[in-house]
Amino acid sequence: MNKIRFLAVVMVVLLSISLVGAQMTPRGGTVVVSDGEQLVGKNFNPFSPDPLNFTDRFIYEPMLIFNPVDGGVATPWLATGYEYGEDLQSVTFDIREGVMWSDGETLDANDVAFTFNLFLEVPATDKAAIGDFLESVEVVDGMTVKFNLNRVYTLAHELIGGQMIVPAHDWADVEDYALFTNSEPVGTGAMTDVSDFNEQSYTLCRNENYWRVDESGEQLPYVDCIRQVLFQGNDPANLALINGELDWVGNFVPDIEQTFIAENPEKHGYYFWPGGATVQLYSNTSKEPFSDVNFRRALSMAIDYNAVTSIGMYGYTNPANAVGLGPRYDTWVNADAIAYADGTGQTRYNPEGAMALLDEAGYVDSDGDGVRNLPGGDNIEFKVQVVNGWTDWVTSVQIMSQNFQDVGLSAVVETPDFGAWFAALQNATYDVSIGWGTAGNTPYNYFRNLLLSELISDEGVANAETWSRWTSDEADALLSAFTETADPAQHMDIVNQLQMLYVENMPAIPLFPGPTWYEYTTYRFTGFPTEDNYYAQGSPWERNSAAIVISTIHCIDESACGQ
Amino acid sequence: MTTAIGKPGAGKPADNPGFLSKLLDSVYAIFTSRFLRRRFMFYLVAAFAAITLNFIIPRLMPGDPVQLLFARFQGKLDPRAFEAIKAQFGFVDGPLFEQYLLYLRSIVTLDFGPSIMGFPVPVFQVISSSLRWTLLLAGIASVMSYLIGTFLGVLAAWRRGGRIDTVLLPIASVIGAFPYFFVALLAVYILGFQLDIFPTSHAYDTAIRQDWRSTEFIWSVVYHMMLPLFTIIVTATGGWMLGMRNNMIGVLSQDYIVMAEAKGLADRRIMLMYAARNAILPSLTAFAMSFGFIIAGLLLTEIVFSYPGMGYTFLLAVNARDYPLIQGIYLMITAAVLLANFIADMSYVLLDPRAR
Repeated sequence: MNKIRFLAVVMVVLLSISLVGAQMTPRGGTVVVSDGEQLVGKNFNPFSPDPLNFTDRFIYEPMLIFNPVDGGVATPWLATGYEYGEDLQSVTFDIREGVMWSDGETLDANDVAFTFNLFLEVPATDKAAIGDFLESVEVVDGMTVKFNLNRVYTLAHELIGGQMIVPAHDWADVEDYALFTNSEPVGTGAMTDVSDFNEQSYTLCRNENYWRVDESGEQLPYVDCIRQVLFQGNDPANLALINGELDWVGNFVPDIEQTFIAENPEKHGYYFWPGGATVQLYSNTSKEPFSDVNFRRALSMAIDYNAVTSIGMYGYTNPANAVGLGPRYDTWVNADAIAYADGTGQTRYNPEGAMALLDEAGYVDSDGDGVRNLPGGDNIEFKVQVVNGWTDWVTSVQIMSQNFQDVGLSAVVETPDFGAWFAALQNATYDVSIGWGTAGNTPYNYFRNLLLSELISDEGVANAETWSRWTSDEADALLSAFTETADPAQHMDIVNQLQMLYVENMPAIPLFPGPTWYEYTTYRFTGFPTEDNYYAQGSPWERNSAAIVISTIHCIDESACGQ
Repeated sequence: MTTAIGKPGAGKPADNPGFLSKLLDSVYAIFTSRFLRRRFMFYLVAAFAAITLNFIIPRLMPGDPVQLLFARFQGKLDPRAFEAIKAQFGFVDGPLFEQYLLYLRSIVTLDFGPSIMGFPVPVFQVISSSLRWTLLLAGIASVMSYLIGTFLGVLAAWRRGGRIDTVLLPIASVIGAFPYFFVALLAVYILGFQLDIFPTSHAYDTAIRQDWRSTEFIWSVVYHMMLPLFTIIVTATGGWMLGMRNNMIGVLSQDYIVMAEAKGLADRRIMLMYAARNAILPSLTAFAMSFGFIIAGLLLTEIVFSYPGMGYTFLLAVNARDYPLIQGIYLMITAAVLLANFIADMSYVLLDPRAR
């Protein structure tokens, strides 16, 4: 009896030891990443146009993080909270206590005030155009900063909260902020120590003073270092990924089940969350016949959306809804706008309907050569543009131009290089083109970048995605009203009206919500977002999510942890 | 025995002076020759034309560097930030003529200022990090393929109708006619991916620190270079081989070869010292010329093997309309081509006195 009792006690003790052991997360290891970085030089200045990717949220951190999977809700980061003033003309942020810079100094309100004063005093550093709405910055006390706005602007917290905070003690003496390359950065982020830098990779290692801890009080991150490896394009990177040389990647991979997953279904994973910006077909409404909404509607009915997503996009996404809001914005979709689109039949594959609509609108084949004519008599001939080498989009455009030919329009595919393609969109020298949209915390950014007339410069250059050049006073008024209220019900109402405008006027044809490229391997590390546990967007280039993921993943065994 | 034997038509009497003084004489002759003075003027004009074209051509491409920088963020960068970025790139704006003068100054001072896509990293820094890898790979690859090709060409001509001539030469020529990227991708797929013998990317293992005193690092460099080197040599050798063989055959029918044979000289001596030495002249000129193109010419190798180098940097710069970087790289290519031509001219004068 005693023997058995003794054994039982031993068992319990052993079990509890092993349980304690299991709770300790293994630490160490170097995560190898390829997020599409094109290295041209050592530059960790977060206010440069395009610094090294890890500068943002691995070295420097913002006051708020906007995790795309959280539907626009802010995660407190270097700030613990924010509050707008009564008149909405100011917003006050509470800075987190106990955050240290990687050199051991403490973060306080002065650092935050320094950063924003820099934007006001040196406009070249103001990459987010904070000076547009920010009047002045006040240090209320050691841990509180008040931002005074020059008007009511209720998106201020998003923009202010999203800026990288730099240390006043390290940055005050910089001679020229625009030319500063900051080769030895001091930040609050998880990975601040630049341990290696060369022309084919760079490595950052953990900040010994990092402020974040897990539930059991262990300091984050669990991993020691992160290495960015550079490739000359997607193909070699994908080869290294398939070979298991990379841990975390954000690339388009064609036919991924066969090429990547089948290599090792246990250790290879991916999830292309369709939470990216909606890809749309833009047409130049300053030209005939694209200026006619019925023509654009007919185009939208000619497109075989399922063929585009299943063949062109390898089934990685599904056709968009009629308002162009992907699954990320489910709660915003206006049922009335969807019903309107159901009534007209737009954005649904229906070649007969498209032909009937074209006939009705006067675009008939008047000279009998098989191509429909403008009411003036010219054949309707146009080019559909897509960037050379963007294979998924090129295939999609080939399908669509075939669809257009099927309804009697003479459409040909044109594949200029990126620069020429983009210049044509901006300067309205294109006919029809596929292009990206904007994904923001709310649908506001999507509609603003598509419709706001201010974005078309006085010289006629269409910035953001105003490439269709369809603008209206009504849209402008709605967009500015959105930034003047903090009431969620009013926001919803405004977005509903914008959706109505969108379906009635079809400034662009929504094709599919952009899949967010993300692959990972678990030979060395685990804890990456999966479809079942998608705690952040997996793509390493989505920097808000990357800051969360880097502090969640950990190595799996001794050999991985020792690397 | 006469020194004129190797130089048919050479005008100097055969008084057999010491080799060194002969060389000095030749070098002196080169630098005082009218031919070279004329060539020098030509180089000046060519350099100026190239420099000017280098300024104009990038600016003729549609697209604006600042807009393209924005475009790379695909809507993630707010259009309102445009002003901030423009303020950083103050030098991009301004009248074209003013930009041209600034550009000429940057050439004289060799200071191209900051690159646009890597702003504010200076152009010089962007170029220098990848240049050494280009020079290393391209240098070794061109010299090796030239030497191997030439030597095999000598053998093929010497034993006409032998195995090298009838089997190896046609194979090498056929492989040389394949598009390079096809051979490279095939090598990566079979030797790198399926058989896993060679690494498929980079100039050395990214997990190793760059340290030229460490044998582990140097071994990694050598190991990573094997596959790209192999693909270049396999595709480039055929051309040199064929050229050398044909030159050799022409030389082998000369009287002095017959005479050397009649005198009973050793075969190897005739082949290398009498025939090959003369046959190599035209191909040496071609080799010097080809050397000028190596900076940009390795683009495909770099892309297939993710080898860090100038070619890919150049492609990125063109795509981003990064004028300062394009100009910096293009200037180096221009300088390399002109320098190689100059060397070729000099060696021509050195080897063929009629040109003086």
